[in-house]
Amino acid sequence: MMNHRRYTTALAAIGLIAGISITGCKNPKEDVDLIVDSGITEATMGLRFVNARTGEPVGAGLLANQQVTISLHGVDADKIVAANGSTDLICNQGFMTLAVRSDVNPSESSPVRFRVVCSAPGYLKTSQEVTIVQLGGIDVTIPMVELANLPDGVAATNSTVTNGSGTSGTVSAATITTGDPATTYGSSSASVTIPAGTVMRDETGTILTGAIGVDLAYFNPLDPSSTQSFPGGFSVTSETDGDIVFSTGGFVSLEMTREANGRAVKTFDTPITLTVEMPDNVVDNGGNAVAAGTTCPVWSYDTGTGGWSFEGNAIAQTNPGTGRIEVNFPVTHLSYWNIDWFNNSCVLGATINVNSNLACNGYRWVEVRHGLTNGLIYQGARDMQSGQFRLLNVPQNTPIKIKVFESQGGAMIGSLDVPNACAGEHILTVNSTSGSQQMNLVVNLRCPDRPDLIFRPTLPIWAKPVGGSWQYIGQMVNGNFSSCALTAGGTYNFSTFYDGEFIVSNTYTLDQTDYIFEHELGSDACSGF
Amino acid sequence: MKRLILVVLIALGPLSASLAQTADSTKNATAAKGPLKVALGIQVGSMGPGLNLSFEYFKKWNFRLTGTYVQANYSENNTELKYLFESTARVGGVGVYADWFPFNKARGVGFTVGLAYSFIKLDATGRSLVGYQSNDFAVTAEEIGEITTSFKTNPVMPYLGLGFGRSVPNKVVNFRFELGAYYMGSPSVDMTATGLVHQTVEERDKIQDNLKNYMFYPSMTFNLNFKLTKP
Repeated sequence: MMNHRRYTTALAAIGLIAGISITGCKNPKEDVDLIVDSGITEATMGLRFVNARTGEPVGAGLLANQQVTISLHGVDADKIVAANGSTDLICNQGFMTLAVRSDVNPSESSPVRFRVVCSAPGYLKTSQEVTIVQLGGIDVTIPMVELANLPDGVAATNSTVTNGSGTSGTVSAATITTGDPATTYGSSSASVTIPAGTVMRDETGTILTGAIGVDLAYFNPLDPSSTQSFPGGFSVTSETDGDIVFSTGGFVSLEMTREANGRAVKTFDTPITLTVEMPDNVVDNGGNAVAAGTTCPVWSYDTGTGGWSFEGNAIAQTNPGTGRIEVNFPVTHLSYWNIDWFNNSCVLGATINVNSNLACNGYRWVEVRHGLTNGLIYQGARDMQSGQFRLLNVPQNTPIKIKVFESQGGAMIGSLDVPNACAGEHILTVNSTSGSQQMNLVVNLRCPDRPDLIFRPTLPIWAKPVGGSWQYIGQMVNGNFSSCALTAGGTYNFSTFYDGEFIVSNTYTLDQTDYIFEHELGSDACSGF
Repeated sequence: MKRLILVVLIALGPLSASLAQTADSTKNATAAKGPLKVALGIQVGSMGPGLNLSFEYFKKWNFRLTGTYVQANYSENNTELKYLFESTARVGGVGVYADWFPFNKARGVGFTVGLAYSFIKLDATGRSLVGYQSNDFAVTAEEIGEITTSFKTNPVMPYLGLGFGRSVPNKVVNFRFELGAYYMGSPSVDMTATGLVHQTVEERDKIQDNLKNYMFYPSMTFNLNFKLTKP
């Protein structure tokens, strides 16, 4: 009896051990993911196209055919691809990501330089020069002017002229004027005078007859709202003079289109005349007030390539009727036109040593302005953590001013006057009022048919405080991102852009350090994996 | 922890019962002693093949020293998913065991407690067989990298089993069959990864957690024992 009881007890004990062993066990691979770095390069660009008046992304909430389209130009345009390696460059919701090709290593001795030319329905075409001298992320914010919602300092009008059949040209002479834009930076406008009999041709040389729509826009050269959205910017690589920085006396965009078929006018058999008025207090690139008799260089802008070409000089004169200073010049082809004095620029400018109270990488809004004219040279978000950077594409032998803001439109947190933009080392002290706390973000992208596979890309990151606007805060590298750009306790959405998709996170309140942002890609983005 | 206590109690159970029986049967104690008998056995089982050396001095107790070891390599070339999986499993250990035969009628049935120094280890490596091309971006299979995961038990593993047949044969040779389990604790996981998959090492903790209940290593052993001393 005793033996039988011991035997049964022992068997039960062994059975119990076996039971515990079997029932409590999980599949060792359960919830285990394969994590793959999918960044093709550590040199990415976060492009953000914003409405110059509202600050909102261009095309937000709109269909694909109303999105920004871009083309790349310049010496290194072939070195730029989308973040997935594709040469199919898609913008969506006002954002996109570009990357330097993985076999290209940008450096100060071998910079990558190209131009982004962009257009969107209802907006003036524009462009921006980009120079990359190192790995890392850069912000490319491109303001675009919506013709139906103009920023301060910009005026526009549209009108119609009628062309007769054959080579009879314009039926009657017309003068079309923008009127003065809403601004506190002086009165000025632009006008175009089309003589009777003007023959208009499209790019193939075909004469355009019938009703021709005329769209004319004028940009005040002093109003910051106007200058920050100048098509093409001010630091440019011109077709005729190489690398230069403009100091503007005014900008005009003129477009003409045959209303019956939408064909654009490109040339005129006889010149039409553009008149660009200049407000008081306009100065040339030497800081000299513009007056009657001042020589004013005239530049044209190719909206297809974003390239500027010097067209010739005009002489400023006083209009006896209005008393305003103006420049008149004949044009035989249609483009954007600009009154610009210029300085040759250096690609690599002065070295700036940032002395900052930011504990880690923290992008802040930076403006670089001409020291004599206060004209805008550069604007964008830049890392203001203590460290060093080089000014890029700044005017030679010219003073500049650097201003650092908490955010675009926010409080100024640092400034520096540099006597020669292309020489020396200078200290820029930045005292940020936020961003002392580091936040870490891991971004996991998954494919719908491979839930056990995580992609960690190298992409730009934007953040938007609740009720605010998107701002570039840096680049994640293989899905990992750290930043001191944001305010502890603040509430934010994060976003990135991959394979044509603008990816937005849920809302996070920054009350901890580490966050994970999970997103399931579309099946197209996952094809091939 | 509860499971550990349970194992200890179970391991101590037969010993305490044995002591009780020893006290009860003092009059038979002389008859249950010596002379010392020694046997050499060969064994195969879930701890691998090996040898054991068994001793008997008390009639109801056998004591064994064992050593086992086996290494097996496995390779899978998955042409469909285009990966290569290679693994090496090492199983075995050296141990000391006590076999207790408490039954008078079923004299070959007994319980075993023991302690083993484990050689158990599993290394597994996976790597892609092909590179990847997306648009203008291409990476080689080498750039994708590889992931190696290693599993190890605690080095010292207590054991409890139920055996059929004595370790030291009554005659020249016998056969013994034993079922049991080692307490190995939760296996420890090491993980290394290279190339584009290097961040997968973050998943080590998940695997470790998934394995936390794998605390017992089941054992099934077949022994063929040869008596070395005179019958």
